[in-house]
Amino acid sequence: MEKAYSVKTTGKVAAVFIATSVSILMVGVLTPLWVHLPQKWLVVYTPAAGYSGVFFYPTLAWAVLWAGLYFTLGRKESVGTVKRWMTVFLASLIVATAIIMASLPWMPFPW
Amino acid sequence: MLVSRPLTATKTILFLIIGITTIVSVGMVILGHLVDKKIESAMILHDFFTAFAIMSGAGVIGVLVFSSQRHHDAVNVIRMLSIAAAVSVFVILITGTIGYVEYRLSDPDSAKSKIKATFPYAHSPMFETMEYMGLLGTMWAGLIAYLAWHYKEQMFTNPAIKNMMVALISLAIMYALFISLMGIVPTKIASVQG
Repeated sequence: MEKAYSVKTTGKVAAVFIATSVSILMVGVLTPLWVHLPQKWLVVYTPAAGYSGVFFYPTLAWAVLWAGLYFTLGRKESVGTVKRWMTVFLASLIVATAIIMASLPWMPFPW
Repeated sequence: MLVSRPLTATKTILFLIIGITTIVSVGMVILGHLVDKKIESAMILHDFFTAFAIMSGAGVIGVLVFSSQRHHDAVNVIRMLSIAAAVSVFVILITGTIGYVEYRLSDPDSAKSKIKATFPYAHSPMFETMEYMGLLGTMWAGLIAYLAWHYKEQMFTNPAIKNMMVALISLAIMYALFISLMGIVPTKIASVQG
C-alpha cells in the first residue's frame, strides 16, 4: 500500500494541488481577519461587505497561482507523489477548517 | 445518408445534465420575475445546485467504484459529472451571495434580524460557518474536475489515483452535507425573502 501511494505526479498535478492548498489556507486566514479585525480592503463588493473579499482574494490567488505554477512546473514529469500532495491538501484543509471554526463563537453551546 | 447512432450512457447523462439544469435555471428565473420573487427564485436555485453538486459527486464515486463499462465511457461520464459539480459549486456561491446581501440587511424584517431575535446561535456561529466554509468549495471542486480531466483512464487502472479521487470526493460530500446543515437550521427559522 505504501508503494502504491508513492506514485509520482506530474508538474501539472503538483501545480493544481499547491494552488488549491494555498487558496484554502487563505480562506482560513482571511475569515478571522474579517470577523475579528475588519479590514477595508476586504470589502470588494460593498453590499456583501468583507465576505466578498474572503471569496474574491483566495479565488483570484487560486487562478493566478495555478496558471503561474502550470507554466513553471508544467513540463516536469515528476514533482512529488500522490501521497505527498494529498497530505499537503488535507493539512491545509484541516488547518483552514480549524481556524474558521475557532474564529466563530461555537462555545459555549446554547443549552 | 443518415446514420443512427446509439444513445450511450455518456450522451444520455450529458443531455440530462445540460437539459435539466438549463430548464430549471431558466424556469426559476422567469417564474421569479413573473411573480416578483427574485430573491426566492435565486435561493431555490441555490438549493437545487447544492443537491445537484452532491449528487454529481456521489455519481462519480459510483462510477469509479462500481463501473463495469468500458473505461473510455466511464471516464467521459466522470469528466462530465466533475465539471457539472464544479460549475454547480460556482453557481451556489453566486446565488448564495445574492441571498446573503438580502440576508444581512439591518432592517428589522430581514432574515438575519428575525433569526437573531429567535435563536442567535443559528446566525453565529451556524450561518457564518456555512458562509465561510462554503468558500472552500470552488477551489476543491476545481481540483477534482482537473484531476478527472488529467488522469483519464488512470483513475481505473492506478489504485493510488482511484483511491485519491474517491477520498477527495467523499470528503467533499461530507463537508457539503455539514455546510448544508449549518444553512438549513437558520433558514427553518426565517428564510431569505425579497
